[in-house]
Amino acid sequence: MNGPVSVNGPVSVNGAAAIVGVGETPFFRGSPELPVELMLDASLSALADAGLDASDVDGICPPPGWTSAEELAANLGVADLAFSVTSSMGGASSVAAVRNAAMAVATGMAECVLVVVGWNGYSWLRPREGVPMPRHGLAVGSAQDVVIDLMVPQGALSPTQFYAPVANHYCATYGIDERHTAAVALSARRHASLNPLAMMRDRPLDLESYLASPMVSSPFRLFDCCLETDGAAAVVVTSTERARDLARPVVSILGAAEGRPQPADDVASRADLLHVGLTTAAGRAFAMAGVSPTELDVIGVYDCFTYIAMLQLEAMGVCGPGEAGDWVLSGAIDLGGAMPMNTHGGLLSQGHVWGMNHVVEMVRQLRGEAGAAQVDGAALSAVTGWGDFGDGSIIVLGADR
Amino acid sequence: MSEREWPDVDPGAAGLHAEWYAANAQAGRLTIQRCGECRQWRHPSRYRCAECHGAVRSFEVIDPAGRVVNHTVTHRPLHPSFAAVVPYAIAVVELDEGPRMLVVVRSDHPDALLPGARVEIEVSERGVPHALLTGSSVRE
Repeated sequence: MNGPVSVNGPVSVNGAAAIVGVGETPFFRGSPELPVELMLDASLSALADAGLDASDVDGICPPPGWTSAEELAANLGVADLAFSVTSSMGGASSVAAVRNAAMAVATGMAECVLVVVGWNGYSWLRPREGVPMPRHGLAVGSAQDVVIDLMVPQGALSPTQFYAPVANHYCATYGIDERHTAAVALSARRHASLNPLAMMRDRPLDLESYLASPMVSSPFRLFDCCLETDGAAAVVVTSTERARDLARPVVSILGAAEGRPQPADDVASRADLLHVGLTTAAGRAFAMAGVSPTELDVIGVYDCFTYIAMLQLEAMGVCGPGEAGDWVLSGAIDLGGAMPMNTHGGLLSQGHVWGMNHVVEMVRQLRGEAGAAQVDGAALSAVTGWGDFGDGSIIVLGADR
Repeated sequence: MSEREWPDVDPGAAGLHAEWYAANAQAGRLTIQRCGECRQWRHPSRYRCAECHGAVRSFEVIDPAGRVVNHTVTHRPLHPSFAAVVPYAIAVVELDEGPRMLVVVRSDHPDALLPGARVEIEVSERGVPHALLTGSSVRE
């Protein structure tokens, strides 16, 4: 299938667009470069990987903050910027942006779209000499007014505190405890030991250290939380037809969707704390792709927190409700397991680049380029995004062989 | 009761949220926004009623009694105003009248707090709410 289809429903992106280039900067703390510079480096790396030039780009999907499509275009020398859109879903923005690019390509609004994210996720909280601060920060998300007006006055400033009601309810409903979340944290760390870019590559983690790590805000211990990272990652999306003429193995976008809990801008007032954006988005994406979540070979799950990654395994349908605990304990998420998850180390142990690093890793898996973390014969994958107060996004990816 | 010195937070809010704090401050007790047409309580405050789309809205005094649905105990001083009171509990409290809200529980023993604990919401002079335990902190 090579173009948008409209059979008994809306136009689908299924198979029309492909990811043809991926790239990233090193992931580190204390960047001497501004986020926009990191994003330019990652963008050029992704274009080079695709065998394309900035002159081929006619669409840019920048992140919600730090730069603009226009600034990126001016620096890259994009002559004709025909398409640009930014999703503002916090950490779900990256995967939603890949979906936006696929829509633009599938409908002919653009031919070649650069999707990039980058930030100074470590440095912006720690101003110091030699570490430049961007003029523009993170653009305001949907939850921002509630955070500033209603949560900060209650001493709630961090996502650990925003997500605690969800994590607590998840644990109470299904009997999840620290044996389960430790399995997620330790798996991510083992995978990171195989990844040259991982910030925690040389920092092994065992159960004892996990359980001894300080409580940030219950139930979240330090090692349940993702890293703070300066860095950028980018992908290039074009038509699957054109992708087949390029140098790299083709990874097509088979399905994509986003979703939100209700209300999206507040957690406490929700009728069902376990109904998150991915709960509805996943079904839409897999239906579009015509595959079942149980068929996936390897997955990228937005692991901002161990608990939230487990919740998403259920919301996306890899596990049934309440089954993620047994799933992670069984080793299913580990390399060699039934469905390896975050084979690069994830946000927990590779770095926090808004989950675009998950997209990059899954593309490498489907190309057979994941190095020591390669899943044999990986042909089908999905990547989730999670942001703000549980907004969700998902793409289903397939090797085009 | 709590013997700690809890911060007197200036919420610095805007729009509907500022109106809510002002209404609390004026009443000297907790208010919640209520639809003037279908009478539905709603929090956070909204411009329109999601139930009936009514635009008539006001803040009304509500029974401040409720229960802890669940909570987090924060051990790191993630906000400077609260650095002096770590560890402290922030709870989802369901008022007996129905609405839910995120609110700090002023207790000297936050680690002993359990879901189901009975609380009452009070407000500061600036209209910022907090919860106080009214009975045993154990599950009912």
